[in-house]
Amino acid sequence: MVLAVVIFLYLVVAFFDYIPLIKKKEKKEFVVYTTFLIISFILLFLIAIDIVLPSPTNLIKSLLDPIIK
Amino acid sequence: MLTETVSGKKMIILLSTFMLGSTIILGGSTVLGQDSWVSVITGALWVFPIVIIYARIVQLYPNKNIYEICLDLFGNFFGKVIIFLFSWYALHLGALVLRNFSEFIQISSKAETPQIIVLLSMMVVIFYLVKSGIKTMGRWSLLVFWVICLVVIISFIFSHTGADNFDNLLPFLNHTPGEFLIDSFYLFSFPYAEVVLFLTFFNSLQRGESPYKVFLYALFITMIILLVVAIRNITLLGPEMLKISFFPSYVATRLINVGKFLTKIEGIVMINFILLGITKTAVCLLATCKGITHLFDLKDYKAIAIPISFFMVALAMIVYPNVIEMLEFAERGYYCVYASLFQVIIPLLIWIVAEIKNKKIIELKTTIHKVH
Repeated sequence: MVLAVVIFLYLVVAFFDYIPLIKKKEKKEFVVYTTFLIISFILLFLIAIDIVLPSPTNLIKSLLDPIIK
Repeated sequence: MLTETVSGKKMIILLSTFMLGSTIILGGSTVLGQDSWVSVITGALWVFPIVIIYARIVQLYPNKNIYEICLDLFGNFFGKVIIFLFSWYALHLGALVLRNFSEFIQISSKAETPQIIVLLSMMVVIFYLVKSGIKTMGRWSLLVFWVICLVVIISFIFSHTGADNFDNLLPFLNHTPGEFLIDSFYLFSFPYAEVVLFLTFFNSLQRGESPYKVFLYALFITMIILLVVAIRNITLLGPEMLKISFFPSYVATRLINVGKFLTKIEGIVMINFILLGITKTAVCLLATCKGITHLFDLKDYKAIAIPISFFMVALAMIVYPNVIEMLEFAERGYYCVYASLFQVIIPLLIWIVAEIKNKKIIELKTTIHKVH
């Protein structure tokens, strides 16, 4: 169900926001948009199928541990 | 790039709603129990000099946002390193705020609904707000602010209609100065100094408005509202209950019953939280989009708002494994130390370099004037 919602949302965005951007032919915007869209889709897809991903908070915590302690 | 303008009044309200954001559900710091209201005031006093520095940066460069100032002061390479760090902070803060709200909604009412659905539905409103521009956000915050004030005032009045609970505020100042100092530092970094994100679009402030006035009024308004919320929570819950509650404001308002006819007013408080959550995340998303626009030399920040908002949702989902880790990150001081890099060190560096450069420009102008 969650996966279906994610896919539906991405299809709506692709239709109403991504295709109009492609038509504008702004190269840099297109590259940045596509990169973030693909990365976020992969992450949300993995989350939707219950795969545990590493948290950036753990990295921040391990970097700050010497200062905190 | 087109610059939208926001009036001083709307900017003050937007700043206040941003600062109230998630603090109003997490109830500020609760470590000091009955004395936690004191740190609301001392935290605001701590942040006062930093806010003056933010206002000074804006005054030195009224037509530029912090990203443009960085490129101007540190050149293309180091400027972009700072832009990257700042954009990351805005993105990460947005994800942290989103996670606070999804955890709150799951714990308080929608236990069976997956958090990702809650986040995505909130995010649809947020990216619409960002795509509508800063002017719309200003108007939105004005509406949200009056709703919040009304709810806070009503809940405060109703909380004292029954038994007089003001004894919960005693013993007064029963902690060491060191404990007060540490606790006010928590409130310094969360929420007060988070206003650093406003430097990313403070050039949208209408010409002629004083940045000092805007920052200080907003700080004062926020402090007063947080003080009322803190006193309401302490008097209703008592120090021990306050310390163990995940979301003290929500738990406190659940206890409010006016006679037997007006109960369960926590519903209106929940609306309050969601409106504030949307406002705070929208500001974070706006700051991130603007940062990425400057990082990659794009034309319009609105064009990339949607993919970045989805990325923020994904980050919010992976940022903490559970609510305990979420509170631990905030309460054990990790967030304070981490955020001080973006709230204190980077702005301080920008301010010093900007002052030196400004002084040199003035000296140069005086020399040219003398020669002529």
